[in-house]
Amino acid sequence: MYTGQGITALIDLSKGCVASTRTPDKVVEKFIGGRGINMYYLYKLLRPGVDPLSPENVLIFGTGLLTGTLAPSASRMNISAKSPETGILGDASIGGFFPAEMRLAGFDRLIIYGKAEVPSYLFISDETIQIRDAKDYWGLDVSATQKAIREDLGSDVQTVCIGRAGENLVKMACIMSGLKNAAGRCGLGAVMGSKNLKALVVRGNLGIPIHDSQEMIRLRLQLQEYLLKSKVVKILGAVGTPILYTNSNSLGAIRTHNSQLNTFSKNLSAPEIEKRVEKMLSCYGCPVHCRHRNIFGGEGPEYSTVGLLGANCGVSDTDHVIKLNNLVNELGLDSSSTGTIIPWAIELYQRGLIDQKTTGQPLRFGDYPLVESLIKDIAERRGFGNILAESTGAAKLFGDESRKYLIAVKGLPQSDPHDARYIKSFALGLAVASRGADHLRNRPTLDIMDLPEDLLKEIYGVQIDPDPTSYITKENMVYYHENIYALGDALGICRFITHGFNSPHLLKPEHFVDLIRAATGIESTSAGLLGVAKRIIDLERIINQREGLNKDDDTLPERYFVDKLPLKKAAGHHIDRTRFQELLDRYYRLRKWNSNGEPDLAVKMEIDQLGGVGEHAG
Amino acid sequence: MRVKVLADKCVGCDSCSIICSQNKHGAIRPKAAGIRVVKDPWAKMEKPIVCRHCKTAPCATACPRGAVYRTPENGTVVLDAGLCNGCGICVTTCPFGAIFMDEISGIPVKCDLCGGLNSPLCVEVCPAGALLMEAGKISP
Repeated sequence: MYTGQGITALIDLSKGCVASTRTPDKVVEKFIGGRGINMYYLYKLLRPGVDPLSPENVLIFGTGLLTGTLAPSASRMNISAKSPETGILGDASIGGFFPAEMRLAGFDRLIIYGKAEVPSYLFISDETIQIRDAKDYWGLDVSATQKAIREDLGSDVQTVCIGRAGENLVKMACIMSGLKNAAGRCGLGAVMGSKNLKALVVRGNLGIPIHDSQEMIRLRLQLQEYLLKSKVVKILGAVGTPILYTNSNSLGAIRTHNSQLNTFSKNLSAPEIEKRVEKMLSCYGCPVHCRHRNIFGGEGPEYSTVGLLGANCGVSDTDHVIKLNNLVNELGLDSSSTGTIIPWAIELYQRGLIDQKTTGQPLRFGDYPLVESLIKDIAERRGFGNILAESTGAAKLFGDESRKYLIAVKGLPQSDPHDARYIKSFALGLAVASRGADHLRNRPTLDIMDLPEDLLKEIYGVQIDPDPTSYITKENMVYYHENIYALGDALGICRFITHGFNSPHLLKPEHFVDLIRAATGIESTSAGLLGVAKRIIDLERIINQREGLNKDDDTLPERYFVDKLPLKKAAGHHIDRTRFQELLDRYYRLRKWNSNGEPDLAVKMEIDQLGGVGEHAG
Repeated sequence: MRVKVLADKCVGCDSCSIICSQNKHGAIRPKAAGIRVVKDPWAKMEKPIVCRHCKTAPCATACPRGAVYRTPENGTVVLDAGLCNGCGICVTTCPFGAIFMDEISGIPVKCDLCGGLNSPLCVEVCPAGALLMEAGKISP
């Protein structure tokens, strides 16, 4: 046990019982925490081939090693399960205040399985967990649920919950906290819904013991001073992620009209969003304050939502896009998947691949009332919304040709509104990300920032071709970003202060070594921490391959290979299949995977030797 | 000296109460810090609450054991946990709600300006400029 280590709780909703254990030191050593230890338990507990919406699926809420401590922006946890949206590993990170509160109550990790007989919620307080009746909250939207819980249990509780989308098993349902914090991806809200689990509510006052208190204070103040000088942190604190919209749009790489076009209205740029923002807010212990309180009673929007519910749906009115943002947050829907699936359906309708017999109404881009009504119908599984609620699974009904126009990888709609046909490292990142087409697994974009070649070499350890459209050397970028972000997820640290995330600065493994020592007393090295990160990515690969994925799944949306970007600087760019395949092969070699993209058997054996969960549970 | 709060600037990160509890208890226990941010995102409220070190401090007057008093060195109103019996009268007497009962120890907690430092840790860590040091003492 290390200083501050909390309980790992096993919660069987079918039997209504809770058991407590501690994660063994050897597992902590190999996987650290957060996403890392979640993957270890998922590997051990998930029976391959299980239906993601069955009681057998395992839903894990795992805080990072530094979550809740004074480490800057250590507000986060990962929620992991088999994804009903993709059928492979599902994993999503969430900030806000719940993860830290869970640690304050003495819990590092909750492993939930089974299905409650009636709608239920978990009430978690100092080292105790109760399974309670949630009938009064079932049917409520995200804000109404939390307001009712605060009224019943006090204003000092923190909650994660599902909205109507999760209750209705919509495959792109989120787990939400506050007004907009979301474990957004992979349909984990539907997993909660399938378990009749409306919410987790926590109030913690046991606290988190810290190994070296004064050193932790010193490090926080020192690192915060460093971070607040960073250009990207200043921008995020002023206007948030919508700043990225202009970057993508001016390049001709914003996804719009289901990626048929690549440039859209300036109405969705950060200065326009900013006019509708009352205040910027932070998650727990975060100096960045990147979250907007908007004038329409919600929080957000982030760049992804602006791009996908705005540009991709063809909706250019700023007010409308912010209202759509607030709507998906209240219903508990992933804006990335929703903002990819609706435009896909519109294009299919325009191409005549689906008609009004299926859709019930004409579909067209730029129709705000249509998008608003489809979002509500998806959450309620009404009419055509019931089909779209299957996310990429709707392709089974729409027919094989529909897949040509689907912007998804491994069954997961692409999250980033950035069209990846221009930046080749970005494209590789989407193709290999372990949860499907998602930017938060790597987002390698430093080669588009015109950084000196020497600096790129210093960051990546090898010479990097500074041309973002080049395929050469780009495997090194994806490899580096994947590793450091897996490490951040294991620690509970936000991307926005992690080295390489849209910045050549921010916190590196050596900073994490110091923070880990001060917080827990655990000695580590940068190389050791990156070794853990690589192991996490190997294990995610092993889990996915156990579910039937192979190298053919490391690909991109068909459109990225076939159609050239039409406009602006990025015009003419697409992904060349041969060169992409060569890049992918180089990436496999860098990861020490074989030509089929499989990790070495020794990695699996090492993990298997850590023992079964049964022996940990005691 | 006292901590002046500019609630409009508060971003609700709780860094002030996190660092305060780290310093006071050697552990992260924001509910047992000398500063607390009262929040309701639906009511658009982020309001740091911290002792104002009042010129006429009702908490000190009310304490039956003399555990709350003004230090002669710098005029800071402090609570001596060794003298306190946890009756909580200071908590209920404070007109600003700025003394907090630690549910674990049963002893109230309040701001002591980090031992009279010119720049307490909450002011140091606030990333939004919502906490400032201000001269002067006030009456409730």
